[in-house]
Amino acid sequence: MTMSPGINVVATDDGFEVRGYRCPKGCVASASYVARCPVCGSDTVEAGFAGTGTVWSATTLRIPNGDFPADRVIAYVDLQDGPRVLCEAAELPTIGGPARITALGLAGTPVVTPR
Amino acid sequence: MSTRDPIITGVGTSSFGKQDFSAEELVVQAVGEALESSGVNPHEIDEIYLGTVFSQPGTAHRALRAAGITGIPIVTVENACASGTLAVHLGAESVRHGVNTTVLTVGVEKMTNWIKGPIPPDPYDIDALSGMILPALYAMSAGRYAHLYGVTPEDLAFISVKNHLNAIDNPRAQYRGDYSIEEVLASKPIADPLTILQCSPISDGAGAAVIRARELTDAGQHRVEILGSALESGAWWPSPSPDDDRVWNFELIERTTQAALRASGISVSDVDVVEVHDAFTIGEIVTIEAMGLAPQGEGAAFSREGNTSRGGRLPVNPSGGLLSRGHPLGATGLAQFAEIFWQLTGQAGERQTPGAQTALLETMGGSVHGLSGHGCVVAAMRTV
Repeated sequence: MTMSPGINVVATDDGFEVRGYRCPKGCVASASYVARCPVCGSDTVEAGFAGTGTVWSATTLRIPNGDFPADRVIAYVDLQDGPRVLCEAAELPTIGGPARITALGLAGTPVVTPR
Repeated sequence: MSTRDPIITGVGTSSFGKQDFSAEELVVQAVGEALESSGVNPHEIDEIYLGTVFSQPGTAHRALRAAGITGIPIVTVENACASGTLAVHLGAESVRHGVNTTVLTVGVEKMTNWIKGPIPPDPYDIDALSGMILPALYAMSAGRYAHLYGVTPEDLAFISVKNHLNAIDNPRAQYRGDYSIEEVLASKPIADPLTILQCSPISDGAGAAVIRARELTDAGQHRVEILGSALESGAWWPSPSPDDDRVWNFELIERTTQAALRASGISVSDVDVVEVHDAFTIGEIVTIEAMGLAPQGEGAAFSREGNTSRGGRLPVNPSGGLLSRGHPLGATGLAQFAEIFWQLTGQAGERQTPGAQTALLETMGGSVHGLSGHGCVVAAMRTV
């Protein structure tokens, strides 16, 4: 896989998955490029992570940031058996609640909705 | 290998805020005050460590030339917000291990010409490419803390009230004010639940400190020993151990503090006064917990009970902190060291913590996706 400059999310028959890297021994998972596991030192392998998970935290950014407008909702979502990834949402999600990637937003950022 | 005790013998700073002074002029002000207060001649300096983040290559040399200091080795360091603190750590360690006997440590940042609005992470960072900015990262820590521990918007706003009140007696601070919690909460929203009075302002400024081996100092001058200091860098975040999932920065600050305490031989119960990296209000709450100054999940209540206020059991950020003094990234660490030096030598004026003899200082720097932080420096100091 060519190293992607941003988060790499692709459509599948079941919805969306996040492409990234995983330690073959299961130590860590990452949406950003990592060649070796920092825990056990194994070479990582490419992996796809299901687009469902749990909201770790979220906020509404009240100021614009470059091409990103004000009042944008963003959230860190812990993908099931996968990494923590930055997502956006139409409404502020519940922390600790479920989330599913249902679309792609600005700059290819995954958009989540409650499952 | 024999070691020497590194002693801070003098400090200096510019004022902080948006100002017309150039980086050279800011450094001249800070270095001049530090050299004068330490009684050191520039020709006695073995080496210079200078922290800066957004400066152009050569800024360190250009600024020190303006201060009349040339022909002395200069090490320029970058560790995001902890750049100046790292400069002091490296300078102190070079004295401790016998590499140098007298070092000048400097921090400088001329931000307001370059930075407008919030500071983004590294633009190539995967989260930055999706629109992450630092206030949002801290806001999500605040949201997580509210979820886990019930921290309220009023708890967060209290930190802003406290630090802006402290800054009223700091003539070098960028912003001062006697705000109410309601005024803090009603200020411009930035990233919920953080409002602008809960975010440190971008700023211009410089700071400097002279560190000497103990045998070159004398009992007649103000002296503060750096008992121990530590630099640590971010670990994988969230932790590979699901039972150890803590908010961003917590693990790094905790690990760095423990390393600094081991190096210094003191415990947190020995500490009289603290300066910490309150870039955002939630940062101060998380930091005092991670440092072991308050139990985990109880930092907000510990603060609202008055423990961290001036006159409290353990004053935190008597200078006004980054929230009020301003946050010129490379200079912030030196501003913190200057405040602790003044506190431990009885020179803090109306801000003075009575009888302060022992202090801790913490600066947390930067963000990288998937790490518990970028870099953190903690130092423990005691009056000589």
